[in-house]
Amino acid sequence: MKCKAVRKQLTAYVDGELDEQTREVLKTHLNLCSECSLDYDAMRKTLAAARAWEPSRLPGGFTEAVCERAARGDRPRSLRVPPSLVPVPRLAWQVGAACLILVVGLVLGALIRPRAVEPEAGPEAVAAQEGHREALEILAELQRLKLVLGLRERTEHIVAAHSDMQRRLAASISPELAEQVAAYHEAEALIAAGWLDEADAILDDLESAQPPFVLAPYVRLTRLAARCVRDERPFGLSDYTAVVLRSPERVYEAIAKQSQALASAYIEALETFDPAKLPPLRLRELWSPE
Amino acid sequence: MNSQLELDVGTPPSDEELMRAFQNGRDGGFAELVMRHGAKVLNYAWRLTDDFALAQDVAQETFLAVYTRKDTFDSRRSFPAWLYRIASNLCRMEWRRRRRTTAPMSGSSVAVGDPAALAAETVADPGPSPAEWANRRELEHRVRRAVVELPEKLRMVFVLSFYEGLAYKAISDVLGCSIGTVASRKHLAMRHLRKRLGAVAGELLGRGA
Repeated sequence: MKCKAVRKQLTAYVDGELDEQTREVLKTHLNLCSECSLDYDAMRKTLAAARAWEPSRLPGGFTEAVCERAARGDRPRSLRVPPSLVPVPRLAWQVGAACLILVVGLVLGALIRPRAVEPEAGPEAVAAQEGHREALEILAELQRLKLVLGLRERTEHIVAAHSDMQRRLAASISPELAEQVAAYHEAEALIAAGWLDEADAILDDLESAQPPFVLAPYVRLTRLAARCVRDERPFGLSDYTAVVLRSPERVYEAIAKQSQALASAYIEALETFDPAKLPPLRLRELWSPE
Repeated sequence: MNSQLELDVGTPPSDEELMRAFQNGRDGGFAELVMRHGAKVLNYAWRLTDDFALAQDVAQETFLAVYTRKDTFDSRRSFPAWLYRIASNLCRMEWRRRRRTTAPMSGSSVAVGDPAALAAETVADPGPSPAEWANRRELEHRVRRAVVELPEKLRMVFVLSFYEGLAYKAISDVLGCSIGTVASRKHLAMRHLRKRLGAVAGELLGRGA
């Protein structure tokens, strides 16, 4: 086992989460390799230091207070008003409906353009999943929408909603794809939190994944979004189109032109609307006619 | 029908048995569960939020949610995992609420009611010398800062794994993600902590603390 692979597994080794065979391989490697062994020591020291945040005891009267509140019929604050009973302003619903139509329009747009989003990964990747072609296209379309929306603070909820749809789509295709999509989301979350190096490591893995990752063409856009986060400027439409139009795939050009107007309207509507209140999309009905 | 719930039989009942008793109308089961797990939930919330007063609120709310949602618990599943999931969701809600109201969560300052602040006020402990005590406080402060700097998802995994001692499988049940995701989040969290605590860690162990 190479040093890089050993170091990647050191945390799981310390946590006792490796199978016996891998554990033995790591143990032997650590006995022979002084650099990895130093790494291992540093990790143990870090964990010893982390113990300095000692746990607290339960304050006196905690149990009694909880039982008393429970017996009194106190409901947890956060659960007092069921979400379905929160009044939503009429205008918000109207704007919400407009947003919904736009999203549906964009998704349908992906469906009626048979080769709208062709992964660079090559035809084998698509052929392998031929039965899921439409679902894959929607998956890619959602990624494109997320990138158009960018990692902007005001669109955080809608980005999360798109990720959730992607997660469900990927899970309906294959566990491997679900795992890759989860890793991609992880990288996006890290970028949003400013952890660019860590995100880069995940994106590197995704770009070189075998079988090829179906969203690989979007990785470079995600890296651009990361640079925007680093430079503390929003990732806007101009960034998106700049990359897309420069790319050798002519197909992106058409997509960019077609979707830019819709995306602008979509973003404009979002400025005045709380996306958290959007009703859920019924994507499954859109892509499977039966 | 519930003979397995008789509490006076030698071995103490499991959490899930207590929950079943509680679901069948015995409130004693609930009090016992609060006593067993109160400190765990409190410390979990404290290490996620770095705010002791808020952590006490979260812990209380967690148990109130257990009380009001007892019927949704499936006693074939792990009670602690359910409890941590409720506490995690409450912390997530609090993060979201604070993000909207712009107040950052991770001040890492010692808040009123914080055990460290209480300890500082009652220096009667004759144990460590003032210098050692100051070192220990400094180290704790750095650890707290390093932990709360972690992005929320990584922080949850790190706290559940390291401080709460949960296995990756249990964490994946709590957070609803795959074991692979847990492993990679823990690995990333460790990388960050090493960067932030590497030097102090060496110093600490060098002194044999």
